[in-house]
Amino acid sequence: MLEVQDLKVSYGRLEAVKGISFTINQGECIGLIGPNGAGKTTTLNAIAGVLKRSGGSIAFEGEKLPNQAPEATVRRGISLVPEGRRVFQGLTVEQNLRLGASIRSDKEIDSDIEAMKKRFPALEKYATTRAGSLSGGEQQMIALARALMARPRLLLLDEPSLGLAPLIVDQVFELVDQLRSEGITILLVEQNGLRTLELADRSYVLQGGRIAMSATGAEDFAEVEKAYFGAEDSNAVAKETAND
Amino acid sequence: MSYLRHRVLALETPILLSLILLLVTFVAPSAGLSIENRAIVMLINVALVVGLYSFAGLSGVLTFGHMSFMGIGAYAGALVTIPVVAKGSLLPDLPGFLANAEVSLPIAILIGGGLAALFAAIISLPIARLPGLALSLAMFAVLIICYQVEANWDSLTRGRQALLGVPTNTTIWVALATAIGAMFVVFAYQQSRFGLRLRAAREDEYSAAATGVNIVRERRISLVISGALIGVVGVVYAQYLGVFTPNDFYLDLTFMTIAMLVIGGTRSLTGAVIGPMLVAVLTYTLQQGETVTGPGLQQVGLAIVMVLVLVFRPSGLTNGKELKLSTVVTRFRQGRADRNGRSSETDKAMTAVE
Amino acid sequence: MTDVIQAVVDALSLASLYALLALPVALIYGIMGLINFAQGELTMIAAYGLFLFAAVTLPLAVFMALVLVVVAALAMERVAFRPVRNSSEETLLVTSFAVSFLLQNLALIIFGSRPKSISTPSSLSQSFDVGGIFIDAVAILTVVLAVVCIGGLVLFMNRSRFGISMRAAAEDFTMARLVGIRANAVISATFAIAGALAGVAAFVLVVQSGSAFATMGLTPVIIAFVATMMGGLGSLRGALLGAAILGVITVGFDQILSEELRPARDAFVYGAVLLVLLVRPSGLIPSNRERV
Repeated sequence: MLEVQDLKVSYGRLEAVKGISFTINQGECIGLIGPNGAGKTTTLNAIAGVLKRSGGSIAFEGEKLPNQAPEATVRRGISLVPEGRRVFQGLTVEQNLRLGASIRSDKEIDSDIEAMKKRFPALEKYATTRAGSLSGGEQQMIALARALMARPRLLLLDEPSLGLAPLIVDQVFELVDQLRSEGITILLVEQNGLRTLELADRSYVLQGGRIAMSATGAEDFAEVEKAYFGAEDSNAVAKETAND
Repeated sequence: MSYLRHRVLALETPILLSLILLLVTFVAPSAGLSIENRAIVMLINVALVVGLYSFAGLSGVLTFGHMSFMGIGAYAGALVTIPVVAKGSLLPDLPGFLANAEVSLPIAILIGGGLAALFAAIISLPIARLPGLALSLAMFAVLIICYQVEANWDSLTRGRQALLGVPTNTTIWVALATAIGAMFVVFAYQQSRFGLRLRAAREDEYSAAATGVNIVRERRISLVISGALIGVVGVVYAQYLGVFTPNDFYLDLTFMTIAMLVIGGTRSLTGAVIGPMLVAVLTYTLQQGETVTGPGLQQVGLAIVMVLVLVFRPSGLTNGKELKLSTVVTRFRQGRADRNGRSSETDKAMTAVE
Repeated sequence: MTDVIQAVVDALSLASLYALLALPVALIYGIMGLINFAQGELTMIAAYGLFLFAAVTLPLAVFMALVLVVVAALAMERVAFRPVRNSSEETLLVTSFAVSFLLQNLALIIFGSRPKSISTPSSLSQSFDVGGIFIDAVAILTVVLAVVCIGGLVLFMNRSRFGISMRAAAEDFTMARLVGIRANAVISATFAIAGALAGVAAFVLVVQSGSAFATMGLTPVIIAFVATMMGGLGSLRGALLGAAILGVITVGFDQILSEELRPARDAFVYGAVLLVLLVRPSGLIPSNRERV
């Protein structure tokens, strides 16, 4: 469904993603894990069109994606839930959901909103409240529901569990699992390596802008940890950054 | 290379720039009085834009109010140099100490620069605390306030009427000395630890703060230095004009100086010197066209050039580089060897700011 | 007593005009981080539009001037600001400064430096005596126009789908694009609204002064800056509050300043604003706009 080929992304002279390739099949949930600065968020942003890629190609559903604006990528069926949730704080919960359907003009928007409220009871309760006044967990639900309102076929999730209470984190992972069973393909970026390995069909460990290894389940965790810290040899990483 | 040697070698930039200005000063008078006058204005503009650069360039905050210091310098310098007899009829209501003052140009420069510096120090108390964009706009408010005061304080400034009788002491050599003096002062400041701290804060406010740079304090210092310099230029400019009104230090001048700095490049002393020179040539050319279009073409052309620079080369022609002889020579040799990669050579002719 | 009521009436009409000037500046800053110096030149363009079309009937002239200024605003965004859209806020500000100067001097070349007088219906220049309080027809007009424009804008921003998209974009531009809101459409619409508001303000100014001239945009844009800065950059409510306060203190200084200090009234007004900023550097109602 999504084919990333030799993707490269640079911030000025600094190359953050140095040629990574991976494929996601229809209905899969793929994890991207790795330490801070490994290039996970950069990869997601490049797929979503927030960042321009400096090299490589991305194909979605068999068609090449040009280096396009985020508003065009959503229209292709790819939605990003960015890090830090970024709900529209000054708008009501319902307005946030409705904005999620910005690319749609069909008659089912209202019924979709009702469906979201059923799925996330908190959204029903606070429908007319300013989104900014809700808790972090509730805001994460708004952000997810808002992304789903676009009816994406590929959902990009950036650190959905960041800064949430353990109980809420469980809910988030459960929800991701549900969404996959509903047929939405998911690319999940996470710091929480073990949980991601357990959930995802396949995970890639990023390290210094490259894919260091791929893993399929929790049994690979020890090896993944080694890829995180063993090879880290912070001097080598620092040197590599300096050389770029 | 030792640190000290490195610093001394860096002097190359202001020395080279001074030589260019010296050349202009030698050549211009032979081309007639009108060209000589243009050269004087250009040298004064160099000093002015270098003064503006010492705040706007080093702190990274372009201000719209620095010409207020020029007005203060001009009026202060004029009031202490206009002959006592003339003052009696021009400004009969002057307070006694001013009415009887008549000093030489150097003293007037001290007074004008000092007063502008004092004013800068006072306004820096609130202004330096503001975040970048608000600082730009607050300085704009300061400019408007100064203009209003100058235009309405009749007993001191003759209000909107021209202040005349100012002795015209500014020769091309005085203008040259001002420009070169300003350049060396700002260069010394730029290389000093104060200048370094300010530049560090410009590049990355948070990292600089984390290493102990007090950005508000550094901006205050910079405001006072730039205020003093621009105040001095105000004195010198007034002694060139002989007659002036508050309008001479208001929006047109603000626009012109910002355009010069932006075109030359806000991030290097070389840019602050080259900008006014380029603009002088440009406005001279456009002025010839004004005989056809009527007044305004100069400003229109300058504004277009400025927008083009902002779109296509936002860091100005110098792109943050300083002029260095060693690299000019290299460029010359490379230019012979390879005449194609011209744009990269222009960059090489300037080396990055240390 | 009548003095006080008179002052209140004056302040109300002044604050209404200031609100019309400040809103578009705050609106554009909120969406794209641009403090638009050239907003004043939009006012100037609309005023010259009124001058050019004044030969036909007034309603048609107003309509044509509005069309002209909206087109000018859209063109300004397209030609000058889109190429630098992703630059720093300061680059944007300097660019708008250059655009403002360009348009001012272009007008100088085209129309000359003498003001062009524009005749407006005499009914607009009369004044009513209500129990010792003088109310100008133009003051009533200003208040009515401001209420209609602000009310319309508030309705649009709160009720319409596009208006809500604009609020979303003002809060977090990248996120708005991620849900599919088109950046170009939102920015163009913002400039169109800014142009229309400039047109309305120009109408008021022309009725007040009876003329159009090249530098007429300067004072309005300065007032707009000061009001938005005092209210809090990027916050619409802040801009309205700033405009109101500016109107009140301007009238206030008119009342308390002595005869010889009154010409320098603006110096006192802006001095007072600097004092406000000393206490609250981010303005009275700081916006929660995300800095990108």
